[in-house]
Amino acid sequence: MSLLTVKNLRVTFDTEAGRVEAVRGVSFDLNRERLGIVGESGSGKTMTGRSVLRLIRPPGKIEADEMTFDGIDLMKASETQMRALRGPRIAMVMQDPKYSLNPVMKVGAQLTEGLRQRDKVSKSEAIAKAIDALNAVQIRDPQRVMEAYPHELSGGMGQRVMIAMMLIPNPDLLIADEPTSALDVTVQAEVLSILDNLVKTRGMGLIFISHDLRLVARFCDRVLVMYKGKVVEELAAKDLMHAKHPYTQGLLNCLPRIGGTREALPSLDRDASWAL
Amino acid sequence: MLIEIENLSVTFTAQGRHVRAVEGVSLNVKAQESFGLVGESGSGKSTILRAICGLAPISGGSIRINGKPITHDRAFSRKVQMVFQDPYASLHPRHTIDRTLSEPLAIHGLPLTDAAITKALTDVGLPPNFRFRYPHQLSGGQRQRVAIARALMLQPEILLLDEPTSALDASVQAETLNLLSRLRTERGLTFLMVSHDLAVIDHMCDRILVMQHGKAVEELTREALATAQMQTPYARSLFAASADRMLEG
Repeated sequence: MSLLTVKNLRVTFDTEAGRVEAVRGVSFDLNRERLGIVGESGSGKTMTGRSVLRLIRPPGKIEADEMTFDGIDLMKASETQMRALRGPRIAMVMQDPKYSLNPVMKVGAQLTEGLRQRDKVSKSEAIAKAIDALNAVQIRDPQRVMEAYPHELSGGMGQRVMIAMMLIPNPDLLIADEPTSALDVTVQAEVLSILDNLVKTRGMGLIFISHDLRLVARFCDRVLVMYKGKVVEELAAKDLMHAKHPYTQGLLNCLPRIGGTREALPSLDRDASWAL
Repeated sequence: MLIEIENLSVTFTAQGRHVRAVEGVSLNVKAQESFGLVGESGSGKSTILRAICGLAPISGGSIRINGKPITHDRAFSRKVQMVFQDPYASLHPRHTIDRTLSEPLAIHGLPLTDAAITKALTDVGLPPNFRFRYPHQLSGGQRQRVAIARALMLQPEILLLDEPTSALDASVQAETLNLLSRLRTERGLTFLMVSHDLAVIDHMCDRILVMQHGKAVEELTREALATAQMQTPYARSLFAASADRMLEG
Protein backbone atom coordinates (compact mmCIF):
# COMPACT_ATOMS: atom_id res chain seq x y z
CA MET A 1 0.00 0.00 0.00
CA SER A 2 1.34 3.40 -0.82
CA LEU A 3 1.96 6.08 1.76
CA LEU A 4 -0.25 8.63 0.05
CA THR A 5 -2.93 8.08 -2.57
CA VAL A 6 -4.61 10.99 -4.30
CA LYS A 7 -7.37 10.34 -6.84
CA ASN A 8 -9.05 13.01 -8.92
CA LEU A 9 -8.20 15.94 -6.63
CA ARG A 10 -9.98 19.19 -7.45
CA VAL A 11 -9.51 22.57 -5.80
CA THR A 12 -12.02 25.26 -6.70
CA PHE A 13 -12.54 28.83 -5.59
CA ASP A 14 -15.95 30.45 -5.88
CA THR A 15 -15.13 34.09 -6.44
CA GLU A 16 -17.20 37.08 -7.46
CA ALA A 17 -15.72 36.76 -10.92
CA GLY A 18 -16.91 33.15 -11.13
CA ARG A 19 -15.59 29.71 -10.33
CA VAL A 20 -11.81 29.32 -10.57
CA GLU A 21 -10.48 25.79 -10.85
CA ALA A 22 -6.95 25.78 -9.45
CA VAL A 23 -6.49 22.01 -9.51
CA ARG A 24 -8.49 19.90 -11.95
CA GLY A 25 -8.38 16.18 -11.38
CA VAL A 26 -4.88 15.38 -10.16
CA SER A 27 -4.11 11.77 -9.24
CA PHE A 28 -0.89 10.25 -7.94
CA ASP A 29 0.54 7.68 -5.54
CA LEU A 30 3.49 8.28 -3.32
CA ASN A 31 5.70 5.79 -1.55
CA ARG A 32 8.82 6.47 0.44
CA GLU A 33 10.42 8.25 -2.50
CA ARG A 34 11.05 11.70 -3.93
CA LEU A 35 8.20 12.92 -6.09
CA GLY A 36 8.70 16.19 -7.93
CA ILE A 37 5.85 18.44 -9.03
CA VAL A 38 6.92 21.02 -11.61
CA GLY A 39 5.05 23.70 -13.47
CA GLU A 40 4.90 27.45 -13.86
CA SER A 41 3.33 29.80 -11.34
CA GLY A 42 -0.41 29.33 -11.38
CA SER A 43 -0.22 25.72 -12.53
CA GLY A 44 -1.69 24.49 -9.25
CA LYS A 45 1.37 22.75 -7.86
CA THR A 46 1.32 24.59 -4.51
CA MET A 47 -2.44 24.08 -4.20
CA THR A 48 -1.93 20.35 -4.74
CA GLY A 49 0.63 20.28 -1.92
CA ARG A 50 -1.54 22.29 0.44
CA SER A 51 -4.59 20.14 -0.28
CA VAL A 52 -2.89 17.11 1.19
CA LEU A 53 -2.81 18.96 4.52
CA ARG A 54 -6.26 20.44 3.85
CA LEU A 55 -4.70 23.87 4.22
CA ILE A 56 -6.93 25.72 1.79
CA ARG A 57 -8.95 28.57 3.19
CA PRO A 58 -12.54 29.27 2.18
CA PRO A 59 -13.81 30.13 -0.38
CA GLY A 60 -11.44 27.44 -1.63
CA LYS A 61 -12.94 23.92 -1.69
CA ILE A 62 -11.14 20.59 -1.87
CA GLU A 63 -12.83 17.63 -3.56
CA ALA A 64 -11.35 14.24 -4.32
CA ASP A 65 -12.51 10.72 -5.11
CA GLU A 66 -9.88 9.52 -2.70
CA MET A 67 -7.15 11.05 -0.59
CA THR A 68 -5.63 8.55 1.81
CA PHE A 69 -2.50 8.89 3.90
CA ASP A 70 -1.25 5.71 5.59
CA GLY A 71 -4.78 4.29 5.77
CA ILE A 72 -6.33 7.53 7.03
CA ASP A 73 -9.04 9.06 4.86
CA LEU A 74 -7.96 12.70 4.65
CA MET A 75 -11.26 13.77 3.12
CA LYS A 76 -13.28 12.46 6.06
CA ALA A 77 -10.84 13.21 8.89
CA SER A 78 -12.10 15.71 11.46
CA GLU A 79 -10.28 18.97 12.02
CA THR A 80 -8.89 17.54 15.29
CA GLN A 81 -7.52 14.51 13.45
CA MET A 82 -6.00 16.77 10.81
CA ARG A 83 -4.28 18.87 13.48
CA ALA A 84 -2.77 15.70 14.90
CA LEU A 85 -1.45 14.79 11.45
CA ARG A 86 -0.05 18.19 10.54
CA GLY A 87 3.48 18.35 11.86
CA PRO A 88 4.08 14.96 13.47
CA ARG A 89 3.04 12.88 10.41
CA ILE A 90 2.90 15.24 7.43
CA ALA A 91 5.03 18.37 7.45
CA MET A 92 5.28 21.18 4.95
CA VAL A 93 8.20 23.52 4.27
CA MET A 94 6.91 26.74 2.81
CA GLN A 95 8.51 28.76 0.08
CA ASP A 96 9.76 31.87 1.75
CA PRO A 97 11.38 31.94 5.19
CA LYS A 98 10.79 35.70 5.29
CA TYR A 99 7.04 35.16 5.51
CA SER A 100 6.81 31.80 7.19
CA LEU A 101 8.83 32.35 10.35
CA ASN A 102 7.40 34.50 13.12
CA PRO A 103 9.36 37.76 12.86
CA VAL A 104 9.01 38.70 16.54
CA MET A 105 9.93 35.35 18.05
CA LYS A 106 13.44 34.01 18.51
CA VAL A 107 14.32 31.00 16.37
CA GLY A 108 14.87 28.86 19.45
CA ALA A 109 11.39 29.63 20.80
CA GLN A 110 9.84 28.76 17.42
CA LEU A 111 11.73 25.49 17.19
CA THR A 112 10.79 24.35 20.69
CA GLU A 113 7.18 25.60 20.70
CA GLY A 114 5.76 22.42 19.18
CA LEU A 115 7.72 20.14 21.46
CA ARG A 116 6.71 22.07 24.55
CA GLN A 117 3.02 22.47 23.63
CA ARG A 118 2.29 19.22 21.84
CA ASP A 119 4.69 16.73 23.31
CA LYS A 120 4.94 18.35 26.77
CA VAL A 121 8.70 17.94 26.73
CA SER A 122 10.82 19.67 29.40
CA LYS A 123 12.46 22.92 28.41
CA SER A 124 16.01 21.61 28.49
CA GLU A 125 15.10 18.53 26.47
CA ALA A 126 13.26 20.65 23.89
CA ILE A 127 16.30 22.91 23.52
CA ALA A 128 18.58 19.90 23.12
CA LYS A 129 16.31 18.48 20.40
CA ALA A 130 16.15 21.82 18.61
CA ILE A 131 19.94 22.09 18.61
CA ASP A 132 20.19 18.54 17.24
CA ALA A 133 17.79 19.48 14.43
CA LEU A 134 19.85 22.58 13.59
CA ASN A 135 22.95 20.42 13.49
CA ALA A 136 21.17 17.98 11.19
CA VAL A 137 20.63 20.77 8.66
CA GLN A 138 24.29 21.77 8.99
CA ILE A 139 23.95 25.06 10.79
CA ARG A 140 27.41 25.77 12.10
CA ASP A 141 26.61 27.77 15.20
CA PRO A 142 23.25 26.46 16.51
CA GLN A 143 23.50 28.20 19.89
CA ARG A 144 23.75 31.59 18.23
CA VAL A 145 20.95 30.81 15.77
CA MET A 146 18.64 29.74 18.63
CA GLU A 147 19.01 33.22 20.11
CA ALA A 148 18.57 35.03 16.79
CA TYR A 149 15.44 36.60 15.31
CA PRO A 150 14.53 35.57 11.73
CA HIS A 151 15.64 38.93 10.26
CA GLU A 152 19.15 38.28 11.56
CA LEU A 153 19.47 35.18 9.38
CA SER A 154 20.31 34.99 5.70
CA GLY A 155 17.84 33.39 3.28
CA GLY A 156 19.74 30.12 3.27
CA MET A 157 19.90 29.97 7.05
CA GLY A 158 16.20 30.82 7.34
CA GLN A 159 15.33 28.04 4.92
CA ARG A 160 17.41 25.55 6.87
CA VAL A 161 15.74 26.64 10.12
CA MET A 162 12.36 25.93 8.51
CA ILE A 163 13.50 22.49 7.41
CA ALA A 164 14.87 21.80 10.89
CA MET A 165 11.55 22.84 12.41
CA MET A 166 9.63 20.44 10.18
CA LEU A 167 11.98 17.56 10.95
CA ILE A 168 11.84 17.72 14.73
CA PRO A 169 8.66 15.60 14.99
CA ASN A 170 10.11 13.11 12.46
CA PRO A 171 7.30 13.16 9.88
CA ASP A 172 6.54 10.34 7.45
CA LEU A 173 5.82 12.72 4.62
CA LEU A 174 7.44 16.07 3.90
CA ILE A 175 5.93 18.47 1.41
CA ALA A 176 8.57 20.98 0.37
CA ASP A 177 7.24 23.92 -1.62
CA GLU A 178 10.10 25.56 -3.54
CA PRO A 179 12.41 24.93 -0.58
CA THR A 180 15.49 26.09 -2.42
CA SER A 181 14.32 28.75 -4.84
CA ALA A 182 15.46 31.54 -2.50
CA LEU A 183 18.96 30.03 -2.29
CA ASP A 184 21.97 30.10 -4.56
CA VAL A 185 23.39 27.08 -6.32
CA THR A 186 25.99 26.17 -3.72
CA VAL A 187 23.63 26.44 -0.70
CA GLN A 188 20.92 24.78 -2.77
CA ALA A 189 23.11 21.74 -3.20
CA GLU A 190 23.61 21.53 0.57
CA VAL A 191 19.90 21.77 1.38
CA LEU A 192 19.11 19.11 -1.23
CA SER A 193 21.66 16.71 0.17
CA ILE A 194 20.10 17.22 3.62
CA LEU A 195 16.66 16.34 2.25
CA ASP A 196 18.07 13.44 0.28
CA ASN A 197 19.75 12.07 3.35
CA LEU A 198 16.48 12.23 5.28
CA VAL A 199 14.58 10.32 2.60
CA LYS A 200 17.26 7.64 2.61
CA THR A 201 17.95 7.32 6.34
CA ARG A 202 14.50 7.96 7.81
CA GLY A 203 12.52 6.44 4.94
CA MET A 204 10.52 9.63 4.59
CA GLY A 205 8.28 10.34 1.60
CA LEU A 206 8.96 13.68 -0.10
CA ILE A 207 6.85 15.82 -2.38
CA PHE A 208 9.18 18.37 -3.92
CA ILE A 209 7.39 21.30 -5.55
CA SER A 210 9.51 23.44 -7.85
CA HIS A 211 9.48 25.45 -11.04
CA ASP A 212 13.08 24.45 -11.77
CA LEU A 213 13.03 21.49 -14.16
CA ARG A 214 16.75 20.90 -14.08
CA LEU A 215 16.78 20.74 -10.32
CA VAL A 216 13.89 18.28 -10.20
CA ALA A 217 15.45 16.11 -12.91
CA ARG A 218 18.60 15.83 -10.83
CA PHE A 219 17.04 15.40 -7.45
CA CYS A 220 13.75 13.47 -7.67
CA ASP A 221 12.79 9.90 -8.56
CA ARG A 222 9.54 10.67 -10.34
CA VAL A 223 8.07 13.88 -11.73
CA LEU A 224 4.58 15.22 -12.37
CA VAL A 225 4.44 18.11 -14.83
CA MET A 226 1.47 20.39 -14.19
CA TYR A 227 -0.14 22.88 -16.51
CA LYS A 228 -3.23 24.92 -15.63
CA GLY A 229 -4.29 22.64 -12.80
CA LYS A 230 -3.76 19.35 -14.63
CA VAL A 231 -0.98 16.80 -14.79
CA VAL A 232 0.08 16.82 -18.44
CA GLU A 233 2.91 14.35 -18.07
CA GLU A 234 4.23 11.90 -15.49
CA LEU A 235 7.67 10.40 -15.97
CA ALA A 236 10.81 9.15 -14.27
CA ALA A 237 13.03 12.10 -13.35
CA LYS A 238 15.96 10.75 -15.33
CA ASP A 239 13.82 10.93 -18.50
CA LEU A 240 12.73 14.52 -17.90
CA MET A 241 15.26 15.94 -20.34
CA HIS A 242 13.69 13.74 -23.03
CA ALA A 243 10.11 14.62 -22.16
CA LYS A 244 7.39 13.86 -24.72
CA HIS A 245 4.81 16.52 -23.96
CA PRO A 246 5.29 19.74 -25.96
CA TYR A 247 4.75 21.84 -22.82
CA THR A 248 7.56 20.12 -20.93
CA GLN A 249 9.78 20.32 -24.02
CA GLY A 250 8.94 24.01 -24.40
CA LEU A 251 9.86 24.73 -20.79
CA LEU A 252 13.21 23.00 -21.27
CA ASN A 253 13.95 24.73 -24.56
CA CYS A 254 13.47 28.25 -23.26
CA LEU A 255 16.27 27.89 -20.69
CA PRO A 256 19.56 29.58 -21.60
CA ARG A 257 22.60 27.30 -21.64
CA ILE A 258 26.26 27.91 -20.95
CA GLY A 259 28.03 27.97 -24.30
CA GLY A 260 24.75 28.36 -26.19
CA THR A 261 24.21 30.85 -29.00
CA ARG A 262 23.25 34.46 -28.38
CA GLU A 263 20.15 34.17 -30.48
CA ALA A 264 16.80 34.97 -28.96
CA LEU A 265 15.64 32.20 -26.66
CA PRO A 266 12.70 30.20 -28.02
CA SER A 267 9.47 31.31 -26.43
CA LEU A 268 6.81 28.91 -25.26
CA ASP A 269 3.90 28.71 -27.68
CA ARG A 270 1.01 27.49 -25.63
CA ASP A 271 -1.48 25.20 -27.26
CA ALA A 272 -5.06 25.57 -26.07
CA SER A 273 -5.45 21.79 -26.16
CA TRP A 274 -2.93 21.30 -23.32
CA ALA A 275 -5.36 22.77 -20.85
CA LEU A 276 -8.28 20.55 -21.90
CA MET B 1 35.97 52.91 -20.50
CA LEU B 2 32.44 53.90 -19.61
CA ILE B 3 32.38 52.54 -16.06
CA GLU B 4 35.61 52.35 -14.07
CA ILE B 5 35.49 50.90 -10.59
CA GLU B 6 38.76 50.95 -8.73
CA ASN B 7 39.48 49.27 -5.44
CA LEU B 8 35.89 49.71 -4.28
CA SER B 9 35.07 48.90 -0.67
CA VAL B 10 31.68 49.06 0.99
CA THR B 11 31.41 48.74 4.75
CA PHE B 12 28.15 48.63 6.68
CA THR B 13 28.23 49.60 10.33
CA ALA B 14 25.52 48.44 12.71
CA GLN B 15 25.69 48.50 16.51
CA GLY B 16 29.43 48.96 16.46
CA ARG B 17 29.95 45.95 14.18
CA HIS B 18 31.54 46.47 10.79
CA VAL B 19 30.55 44.28 7.90
CA ARG B 20 32.76 44.57 4.85
CA ALA B 21 30.37 43.71 2.04
CA VAL B 22 32.76 44.63 -0.76
CA GLU B 23 36.55 44.70 -0.41
CA GLY B 24 38.85 46.20 -3.00
CA VAL B 25 36.97 45.24 -6.14
CA SER B 26 38.05 46.73 -9.47
CA LEU B 27 36.32 46.37 -12.82
CA ASN B 28 35.92 48.23 -16.09
CA VAL B 29 33.00 48.19 -18.48
CA LYS B 30 33.27 49.51 -22.03
CA ALA B 31 30.48 51.44 -23.68
CA GLN B 32 27.80 49.11 -25.09
CA GLU B 33 29.35 46.13 -23.38
CA SER B 34 27.42 43.71 -21.20
CA PHE B 35 29.29 42.82 -18.02
CA GLY B 36 28.15 40.15 -15.55
CA LEU B 37 28.72 39.69 -11.82
CA VAL B 38 28.24 36.20 -10.40
CA GLY B 39 28.64 34.68 -6.97
CA GLU B 40 26.61 33.28 -4.09
CA SER B 41 24.38 35.48 -1.96
CA GLY B 42 26.40 37.65 0.37
CA SER B 43 29.27 37.81 -2.12
CA GLY B 44 28.72 41.54 -2.57
CA LYS B 45 27.63 41.47 -6.22
CA SER B 46 24.39 43.38 -5.68
CA THR B 47 26.13 45.74 -3.27
CA ILE B 48 28.36 46.93 -6.11
CA LEU B 49 25.30 47.92 -8.14
CA ARG B 50 23.80 49.61 -5.12
CA ALA B 51 27.05 51.49 -4.46
CA ILE B 52 26.99 52.82 -8.03
CA CYS B 53 23.46 54.14 -7.44
CA GLY B 54 24.32 55.62 -4.06
CA LEU B 55 22.24 53.05 -2.17
CA ALA B 56 25.26 51.64 -0.29
CA PRO B 57 27.98 53.56 1.59
CA ILE B 58 31.31 53.64 -0.25
CA SER B 59 34.13 53.36 2.26
CA GLY B 60 37.06 53.22 -0.11
CA GLY B 61 38.10 53.34 -3.74
CA SER B 62 36.36 55.14 -6.55
CA ILE B 63 33.66 54.78 -9.19
CA ARG B 64 34.01 56.82 -12.38
CA ILE B 65 31.65 57.08 -15.29
CA ASN B 66 33.06 58.54 -18.51
CA GLY B 67 36.19 59.36 -16.52
CA LYS B 68 34.36 61.52 -13.99
CA PRO B 69 33.80 60.54 -10.35
CA ILE B 70 30.08 59.84 -9.85
CA THR B 71 27.80 62.32 -8.18
CA HIS B 72 24.27 61.29 -7.34
CA ASP B 73 22.38 64.14 -8.97
CA ARG B 74 19.74 64.36 -11.67
CA ALA B 75 22.28 64.14 -14.45
CA PHE B 76 23.38 60.80 -12.98
CA SER B 77 19.91 59.30 -13.03
CA ARG B 78 19.53 60.30 -16.67
CA LYS B 79 22.63 58.28 -17.39
CA VAL B 80 22.27 55.28 -15.08
CA GLN B 81 19.14 53.39 -14.10
CA MET B 82 18.57 50.21 -12.14
CA VAL B 83 16.16 47.28 -12.47
CA PHE B 84 15.66 45.37 -9.23
CA GLN B 85 15.20 41.68 -8.59
CA ASP B 86 11.73 41.52 -7.18
CA PRO B 87 9.05 43.01 -9.42
CA TYR B 88 6.55 42.56 -6.60
CA ALA B 89 8.51 44.89 -4.32
CA SER B 90 9.93 47.46 -6.73
CA LEU B 91 6.71 49.00 -8.03
CA HIS B 92 4.57 51.25 -5.85
CA PRO B 93 1.43 49.20 -5.08
CA ARG B 94 -0.89 52.22 -5.03
CA HIS B 95 0.39 53.95 -8.12
CA THR B 96 -1.03 53.12 -11.53
CA ILE B 97 1.43 52.03 -14.20
CA ASP B 98 0.80 55.44 -15.80
CA ARG B 99 1.94 57.25 -12.67
CA THR B 100 4.95 54.95 -12.20
CA LEU B 101 6.13 55.68 -15.73
CA SER B 102 5.31 59.41 -15.61
CA GLU B 103 7.16 60.13 -12.41
CA PRO B 104 10.71 60.12 -13.84
CA LEU B 105 9.61 62.57 -16.55
CA ALA B 106 7.87 64.81 -14.03
CA ILE B 107 10.88 64.86 -11.68
CA HIS B 108 13.19 65.81 -14.51
CA GLY B 109 10.80 68.42 -15.89
CA LEU B 110 10.53 66.64 -19.22
CA PRO B 111 7.45 66.96 -21.41
CA LEU B 112 4.86 64.49 -20.21
CA THR B 113 2.85 63.24 -23.13
CA ASP B 114 0.41 60.40 -23.69
CA ALA B 115 2.54 59.28 -26.58
CA ALA B 116 5.64 58.92 -24.38
CA ILE B 117 3.86 56.58 -21.97
CA THR B 118 2.21 54.56 -24.73
CA LYS B 119 5.53 54.17 -26.51
CA ALA B 120 7.28 53.13 -23.31
CA LEU B 121 4.72 50.37 -22.83
CA THR B 122 4.78 49.12 -26.42
CA ASP B 123 8.60 49.17 -26.42
CA VAL B 124 8.60 46.56 -23.66
CA GLY B 125 5.85 44.54 -25.31
CA LEU B 126 2.91 45.58 -23.14
CA PRO B 127 -0.44 46.72 -24.55
CA PRO B 128 -1.10 50.47 -24.10
CA ASN B 129 -4.29 49.80 -22.15
CA PHE B 130 -2.15 48.56 -19.22
CA ARG B 131 -1.56 52.24 -18.42
CA PHE B 132 -4.32 52.52 -15.88
CA ARG B 133 -3.77 49.22 -14.17
CA TYR B 134 -2.21 48.75 -10.75
CA PRO B 135 0.78 46.42 -10.17
CA HIS B 136 -1.39 43.77 -8.45
CA GLN B 137 -3.34 43.40 -11.71
CA LEU B 138 -0.19 42.31 -13.55
CA SER B 139 1.77 39.05 -13.53
CA GLY B 140 5.38 38.92 -12.36
CA GLY B 141 6.73 39.05 -15.91
CA GLN B 142 4.50 41.99 -16.82
CA ARG B 143 5.61 43.85 -13.71
CA GLN B 144 9.26 43.29 -14.57
CA ARG B 145 8.52 44.75 -18.03
CA VAL B 146 7.04 47.82 -16.33
CA ALA B 147 10.17 48.10 -14.16
CA ILE B 148 12.32 47.95 -17.32
CA ALA B 149 10.09 50.54 -19.04
CA ARG B 150 10.45 52.83 -16.02
CA ALA B 151 14.23 52.47 -16.06
CA LEU B 152 14.24 53.44 -19.74
CA MET B 153 11.98 56.52 -19.40
CA LEU B 154 14.96 58.88 -19.07
CA GLN B 155 16.83 57.17 -21.90
CA PRO B 156 19.86 56.18 -19.85
CA GLU B 157 23.07 54.80 -21.31
CA ILE B 158 23.67 52.31 -18.53
CA LEU B 159 21.29 49.77 -17.04
CA LEU B 160 22.18 48.10 -13.77
CA LEU B 161 20.30 44.80 -13.64
CA ASP B 162 20.06 43.07 -10.27
CA GLU B 163 18.87 39.48 -10.86
CA PRO B 164 16.21 40.76 -13.26
CA THR B 165 14.74 37.33 -14.01
CA SER B 166 15.37 35.22 -10.93
CA ALA B 167 11.81 35.71 -9.66
CA LEU B 168 10.29 34.64 -12.98
CA ASP B 169 9.22 31.33 -14.55
CA ALA B 170 11.41 29.78 -17.24
CA SER B 171 9.22 30.87 -20.16
CA VAL B 172 8.82 34.40 -18.77
CA GLN B 173 12.55 34.55 -18.06
CA ALA B 174 13.23 33.74 -21.73
CA GLU B 175 10.87 36.51 -22.86
CA THR B 176 12.42 39.04 -20.47
CA LEU B 177 15.99 38.16 -21.48
CA ASN B 178 15.02 38.46 -25.15
CA LEU B 179 13.48 41.85 -24.43
CA LEU B 180 16.63 43.07 -22.66
CA SER B 181 18.88 41.86 -25.49
CA ARG B 182 16.68 43.56 -28.08
CA LEU B 183 16.63 46.86 -26.16
CA ARG B 184 20.39 46.75 -25.75
CA THR B 185 20.97 46.40 -29.49
CA GLU B 186 18.32 48.95 -30.43
CA ARG B 187 19.47 51.61 -28.00
CA GLY B 188 23.15 50.82 -27.64
CA LEU B 189 22.81 50.28 -23.90
CA THR B 190 25.56 49.19 -21.52
CA PHE B 191 24.57 46.47 -19.06
CA LEU B 192 26.06 45.68 -15.69
CA MET B 193 24.16 42.60 -14.64
CA VAL B 194 24.07 40.51 -11.49
CA SER B 195 22.87 36.92 -11.43
CA HIS B 196 23.55 33.70 -9.58
CA ASP B 197 22.61 31.72 -12.68
CA LEU B 198 25.72 31.15 -14.80
CA ALA B 199 23.60 30.20 -17.81
CA VAL B 200 21.76 33.53 -17.72
CA ILE B 201 25.03 35.44 -17.35
CA ASP B 202 26.61 33.45 -20.16
CA HIS B 203 23.66 34.17 -22.41
CA MET B 204 23.68 37.90 -21.71
CA CYS B 205 27.25 38.99 -20.94
CA ASP B 206 30.57 39.38 -22.78
CA ARG B 207 32.73 39.42 -19.67
CA ILE B 208 32.11 38.03 -16.20
CA LEU B 209 33.52 38.74 -12.77
CA VAL B 210 33.23 35.92 -10.23
CA MET B 211 32.92 37.16 -6.64
CA GLN B 212 33.10 35.51 -3.24
CA HIS B 213 32.94 37.00 0.28
CA GLY B 214 33.03 40.55 -1.09
CA LYS B 215 36.18 40.04 -3.13
CA ALA B 216 36.78 39.61 -6.82
CA VAL B 217 37.88 36.04 -7.49
CA GLU B 218 38.40 35.89 -11.21
CA GLU B 219 37.44 37.72 -14.38
CA LEU B 220 36.44 35.54 -17.31
CA THR B 221 35.49 36.13 -20.90
CA ARG B 222 32.44 34.40 -22.24
CA GLU B 223 34.64 32.03 -24.24
CA ALA B 224 36.66 31.10 -21.16
CA LEU B 225 33.44 30.29 -19.33
CA ALA B 226 32.01 28.17 -22.14
CA THR B 227 35.22 26.19 -22.44
CA ALA B 228 35.72 25.87 -18.67
CA GLN B 229 39.05 27.71 -18.67
CA MET B 230 38.78 29.14 -15.20
CA GLN B 231 41.91 29.39 -13.07
CA THR B 232 40.66 29.61 -9.49
CA PRO B 233 39.16 26.74 -7.49
CA TYR B 234 36.10 28.79 -6.50
CA ALA B 235 35.17 29.71 -10.07
CA ARG B 236 35.66 26.07 -10.96
CA SER B 237 33.34 24.87 -8.18
CA LEU B 238 30.70 27.39 -9.22
CA PHE B 239 30.98 26.08 -12.75
CA ALA B 240 30.76 22.49 -11.54
CA ALA B 241 27.60 23.29 -9.56
CA SER B 242 26.06 24.58 -12.79
CA ALA B 243 26.87 21.48 -14.82
CA ASP B 244 23.19 20.93 -15.61
CA ARG B 245 23.11 24.31 -17.32
CA MET B 246 25.61 23.33 -19.98
CA LEU B 247 24.69 23.15 -23.65
CA GLU B 248 24.85 19.37 -23.74
CA GLY B 249 23.14 17.74 -20.82
